[in-house]
Amino acid sequence: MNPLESNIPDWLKGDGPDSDVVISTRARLARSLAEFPFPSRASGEDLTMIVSEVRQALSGLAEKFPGIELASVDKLSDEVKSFLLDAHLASVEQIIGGKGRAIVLEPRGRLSIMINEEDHLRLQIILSGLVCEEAWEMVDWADDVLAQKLAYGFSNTYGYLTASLSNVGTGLRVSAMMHLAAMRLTRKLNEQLRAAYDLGVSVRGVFGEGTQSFGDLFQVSNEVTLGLNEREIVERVRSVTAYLLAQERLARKELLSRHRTSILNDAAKSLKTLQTSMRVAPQQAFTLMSSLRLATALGFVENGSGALMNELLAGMRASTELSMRVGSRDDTGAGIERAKLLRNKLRSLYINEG
Amino acid sequence: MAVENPICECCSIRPAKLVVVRRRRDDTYRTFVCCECAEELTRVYVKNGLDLDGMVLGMDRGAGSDTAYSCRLCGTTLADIVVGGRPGCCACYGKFGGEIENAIKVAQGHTLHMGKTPER
Ligand SMILES: [Zn+2]
Ligand SMILES: [Zn+2]
Repeated sequence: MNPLESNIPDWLKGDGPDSDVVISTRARLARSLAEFPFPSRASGEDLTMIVSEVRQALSGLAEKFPGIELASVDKLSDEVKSFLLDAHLASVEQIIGGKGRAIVLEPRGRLSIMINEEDHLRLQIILSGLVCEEAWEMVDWADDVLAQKLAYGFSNTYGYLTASLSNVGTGLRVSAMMHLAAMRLTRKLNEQLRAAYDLGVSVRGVFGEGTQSFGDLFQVSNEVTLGLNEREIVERVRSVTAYLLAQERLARKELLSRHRTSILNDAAKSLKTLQTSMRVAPQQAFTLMSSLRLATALGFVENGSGALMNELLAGMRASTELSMRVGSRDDTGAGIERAKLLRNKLRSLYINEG
Repeated sequence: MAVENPICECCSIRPAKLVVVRRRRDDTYRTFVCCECAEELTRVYVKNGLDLDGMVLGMDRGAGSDTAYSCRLCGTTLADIVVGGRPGCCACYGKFGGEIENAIKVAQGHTLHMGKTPER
């Protein structure tokens, strides 16, 4: 399987609205097939039948997602697997889960469907920038197409039935990945994240726990999937994300007017380290790339594109996570590879004091 | 498949008879405790103003082995759902009506679907 037509999914390209701060928006639906046990309880035979049912229902999706394709996870090469993780198109659980799991992809990497992860189906749309409504509408459309062929588990009281009680109802999780580096530097982060919690969303580090997020990457998402309809969920996440976006912009302005020299100094040091290191640990990569991405957004970095910054900051998450999750695996080799990649990709960049 | 009650997480001596469910932000914490420790734990939570959702669910010690309490389609028992918060299939939602409703309320604070329905 050649997963995507370009080497980078659409969402990493950095061309969506407000993508200097909001790297991506994701809308995910959890769905189950009524007559099969959930994947954790299903037999190998069940899993195979689930995959084949979904395969037969896919054809309608080609209208909006030409080139859509299904692949068994156990037939993918390691290279493709780590690409799917980096591109946020599959979860670690799905990739290491073994037989009976499959993934559906389209060439631009906007739609992906994990089959037999926690739920029978996890439909996901991921796009660049702050585009909650568009992401919802696209995943809603794909869901309707599949519902014509698949017998979803549904109850009039509880809504869509899922393997975890925290997804039952709409099964919808809308999330926005934000780069909030300036808010951290101006020490406004904790206060603002607390304000966001109070508005009924969850905000957590994309990588790391709570406010200890590596790379200043945060994910805003809805907390509950019951008691609200899909539009209300979308609007709740959109409005809190828009609020945090405005706060981050203010913080960036403040940095430009009051801390220009120290931002430049940080960025120059980060870039130099990244261009010369022979080995870079995951946490260090996040810290340095966050500083460099911020400086790029502020216009201090020549030859550095938003797409490149997204790829190296947000797109390195998963393989790092995998190497941490697998735990005992030594990061030395990965650290050398990571450094090599960073040196190559950042070779021609330099700081322009403006 | 019988589910044995775990040992109390507080005293590590008596077998756990209850699970104290506490909801914070987007996580749900479950603590398995004996009756004695449950009482003490609840007191501590309430005294410290922690948002204990008032949920102390009894674990049915016989549920693990009683087929009347397991789902016909997937074999999941009531104990599995109370303890793990995870039904095994769609039929579980019907089979364990009241208990599932309680557990959903704990997990989400709501039990009523307001969204779309499948278009067939
Ligand atoms: Zn005890
Ligand atoms: Zn069941």
